[in-house]
Amino acid sequence: MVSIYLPIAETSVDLGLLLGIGGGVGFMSGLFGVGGGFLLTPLLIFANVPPTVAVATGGNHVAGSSFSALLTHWRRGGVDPRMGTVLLLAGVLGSATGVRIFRWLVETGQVDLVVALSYVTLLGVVGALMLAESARDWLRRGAPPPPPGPPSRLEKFIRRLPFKRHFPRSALTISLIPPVVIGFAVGVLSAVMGVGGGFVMVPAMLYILKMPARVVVGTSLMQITVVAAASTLMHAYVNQTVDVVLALVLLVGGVVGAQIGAIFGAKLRAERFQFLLAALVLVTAGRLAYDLVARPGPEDLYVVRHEEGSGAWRRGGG
Amino acid sequence: MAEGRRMRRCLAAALGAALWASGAPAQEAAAPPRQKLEERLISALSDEEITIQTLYAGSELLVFGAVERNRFITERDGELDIAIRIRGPTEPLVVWRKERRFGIWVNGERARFPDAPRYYAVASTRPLSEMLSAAQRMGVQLTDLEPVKLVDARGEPADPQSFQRAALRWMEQRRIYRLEPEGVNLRGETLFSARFALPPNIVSGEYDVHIVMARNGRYLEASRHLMPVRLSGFEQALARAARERPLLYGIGCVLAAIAMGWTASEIFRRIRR
Repeated sequence: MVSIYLPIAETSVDLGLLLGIGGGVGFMSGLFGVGGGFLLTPLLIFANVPPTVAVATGGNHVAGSSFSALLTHWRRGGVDPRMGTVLLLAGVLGSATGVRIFRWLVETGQVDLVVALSYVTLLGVVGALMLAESARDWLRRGAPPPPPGPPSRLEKFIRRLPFKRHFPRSALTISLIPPVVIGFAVGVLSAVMGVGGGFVMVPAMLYILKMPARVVVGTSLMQITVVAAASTLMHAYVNQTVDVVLALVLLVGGVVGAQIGAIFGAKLRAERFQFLLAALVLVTAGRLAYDLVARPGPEDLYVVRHEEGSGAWRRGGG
Repeated sequence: MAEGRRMRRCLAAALGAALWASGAPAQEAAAPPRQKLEERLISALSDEEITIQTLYAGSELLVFGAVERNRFITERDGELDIAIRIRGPTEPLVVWRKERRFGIWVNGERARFPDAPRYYAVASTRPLSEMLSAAQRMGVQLTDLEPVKLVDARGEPADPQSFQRAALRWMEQRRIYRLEPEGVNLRGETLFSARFALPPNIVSGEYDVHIVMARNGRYLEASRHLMPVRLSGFEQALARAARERPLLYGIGCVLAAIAMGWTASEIFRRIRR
């Protein structure tokens, strides 16, 4: 048992536990190609890291781990830099907004509720969509892919939007408005939930923007890296809740876990992979939803917290 | 200098009251045998300051000392009691009570405890209520509920005590609130000691160690030590950078994470080849 003192979280946490959390989340992200922030933030809170530090530091960790994965995809040509730039500019704006929303939520005492509700809603919807998709693929096994159906109402609406641009790497001509909206929303999520937003971004790029699958993960990683970096910077500046020691320890576990996860991922079949990810997402959502609805025990009826913005850095003690 | 003298006196007291009496001036020796009992408290800490280093996992603080007195004690003098209270730096604590709204549990009523300490422990030879009256305890700031005093009545909930209990329970779980009614070890009515476990989540700042001596329900004397808890050089530099140069610190955090991601990617690319 070796503990390490986290100077911003102002607590000492077992080093093995932190490496394990980093490794486990890294494994998931290597396996599924998502950032894993949605698992990291709750696990850090479980390890007694204050929630505000967990969210801000989660962003810092995501910045490092996504950059590592981005390099791999970049070399393979799996990134659409033009689309990525549009998404990340909108994302940085969203993240600046999100950090301020987060601060306001902390002050009103409703941050846990809003974070939990956002997680339940997003994970529930995304998980259900993925599950339906993988079930359809499962039933259609071996059969040729069906011809594309008539365009949906959403597609027709997107086609009518102005400010069209061509994205050569994605072989796509589309209005700038949908990617800006998606990028902004993911930026807000990143700051408020401490996540990269890959689990929202990847489906949105596939089903709303209709980008080809080979550039989706790489391009979303480009946006996630920059947005997570921007969120970290703004949390450090506005809330002073980024613990660099915690982030670096998590990264050590995370990068190793991600490589192992990627090796396993190569051996999994696509529909099974999607089914597993959907199951993981739904279980996380279910667990959070249960906590919101279930009657808390007498011990859990009260939420106690040190007042925000009153830590050592405000006390002036060094 | 003063500290050295205290230690020596402490030793003197440890040798026993008899030695002290024999060393007293002839004038006093000639006094009648039933003279008034006078007692003085001499105390010290095992650490004059504590430094939190990278691998800090909590530590133990020993508070010890001796009682020097001018004559032998008899049964009629009653029982000697010692209580030791350690109080860390304060930081406002907020407590919310969950309530059900639209089928989900949200944070509802709230109480704020502006002077809640980040560490509070009381050890004594027996429960404080048996040792001193409530009024005397207040007079020497020796209470078990003090950590979360209810001062701000405006906008407080109807039953503040339940919020207070919740706050103390939470502090207890984090090992930053502890009552040890039999935590002070008193030997031969002269030597005393108590061990305090400082948890890994203590924060930097001044820790106020307050030692109170009472006999037969009457307050006699108190002594006080201020023990600083500091972060070591590296931790302090980081905490200070985060506080004083937040933008630069943030850029550093991002660059460190990016550099780490890049290094990992390069290492694994070489391994795979």
